[in-house]
Amino acid sequence: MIKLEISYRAILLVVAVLLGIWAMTRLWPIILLIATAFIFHAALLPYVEWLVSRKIPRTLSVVVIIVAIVGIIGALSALVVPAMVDEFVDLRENLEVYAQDLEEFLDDFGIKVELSDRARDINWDELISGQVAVDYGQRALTILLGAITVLVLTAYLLVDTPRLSRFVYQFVPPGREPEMDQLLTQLQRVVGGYIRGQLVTSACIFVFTFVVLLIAGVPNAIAFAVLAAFVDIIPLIGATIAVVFPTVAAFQESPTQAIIVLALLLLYQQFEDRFLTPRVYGQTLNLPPLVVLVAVLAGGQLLGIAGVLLAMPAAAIARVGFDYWREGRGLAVALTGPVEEAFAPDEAKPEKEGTSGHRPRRRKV
Amino acid sequence: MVIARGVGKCEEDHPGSYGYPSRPEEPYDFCSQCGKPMIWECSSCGTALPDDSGELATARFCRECGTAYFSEQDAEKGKQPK
Repeated sequence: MIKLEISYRAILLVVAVLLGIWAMTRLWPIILLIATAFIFHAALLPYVEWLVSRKIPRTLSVVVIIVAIVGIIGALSALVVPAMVDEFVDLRENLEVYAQDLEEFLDDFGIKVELSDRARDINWDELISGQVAVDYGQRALTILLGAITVLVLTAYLLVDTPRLSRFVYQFVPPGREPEMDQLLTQLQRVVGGYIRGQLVTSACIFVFTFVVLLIAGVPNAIAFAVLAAFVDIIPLIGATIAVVFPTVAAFQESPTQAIIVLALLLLYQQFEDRFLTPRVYGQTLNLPPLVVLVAVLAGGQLLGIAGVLLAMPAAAIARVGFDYWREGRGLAVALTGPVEEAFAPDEAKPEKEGTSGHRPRRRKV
Repeated sequence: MVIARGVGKCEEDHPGSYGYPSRPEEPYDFCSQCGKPMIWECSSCGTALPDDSGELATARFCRECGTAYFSEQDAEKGKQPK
């Protein structure tokens, strides 16, 4: 008969792990906010450090950065929200006409669809009734409160970075600080690089969409440009959304304009995928497409839209962690160099100049 | 301002560091565990000790000039370089 002995320590460990998982499930929304704040912290820290290096007090530097961000978001909202409202009112009033136009356009290609009748049947009063408005209002308020919380948390993290570093380093054994330093630098480079790279690609798609829609005479060009900049953050499907909405809006003007807008935006997508993204991100992310797909699907399943947005930085963090763990166990050598050398005993390993401290080179006389 | 950072060790291979958060700002002279003298760089050419903790633990000779970090001890152990 097999006698199973379990130590008290193992039982305590299992209980602690289960309690940790339970606490995580209960505190998940807060953990999500803190994780998001850490991502923004990584992105903004170089700018704060730059201001600090120019003798500006840290707190003031953080305030300057946060005020600048709030200012930019406020200015964009002031541009976009009224335009979006106008667009919605216009859509509501003229949907039947637009549907009629689309019907005729598709009819030219031999495609028969009943759209205008369906548009006429839409009960707008029911769609935007009091309860629906309250529901959406509550969601908007939750998102706004979440954004403010993330901003405040990010500000605290930026101000307290030196104290945070001291807290982290006190758990690092002496002599291992350079490795921790390297890990933190790598994490900051990957996460910060992702956010900054995303800002660049979003800014580019904003400018391009705005110019194209302005030239094509599509109303509310700026609103669609901001929408394109925002959905560009969503991996895989963001690019499609960025094309569909402006094209539909252009169709309200004329089918020809819609085709031109569609063609130009598709062309831009190719430019972004093949030229811009590889140059902006470089080796920052370097994630295989399959990993991106799995990360996005998993993120979406776990956390919805927030999970989709966090999927890329989370996958990049996981890759840095995996690389660190792999190198820590010498597997990096095993995977990149000859297996015999990697697993050979120390005495049997060939001497490499400048790679090992305990294998001296020939002493200079 | 550039903050100097580094790692070192004593004859007994006890590692140490300075310049990192929560660590002494300057290199210190004696090991906090055994009290033996600490080294932070090669006494001959001034090259810093290896950053990698694995290498640091086993390094007995400077990787640049080959000088023994702790010559008397290494001579006793017969590890003097050729």
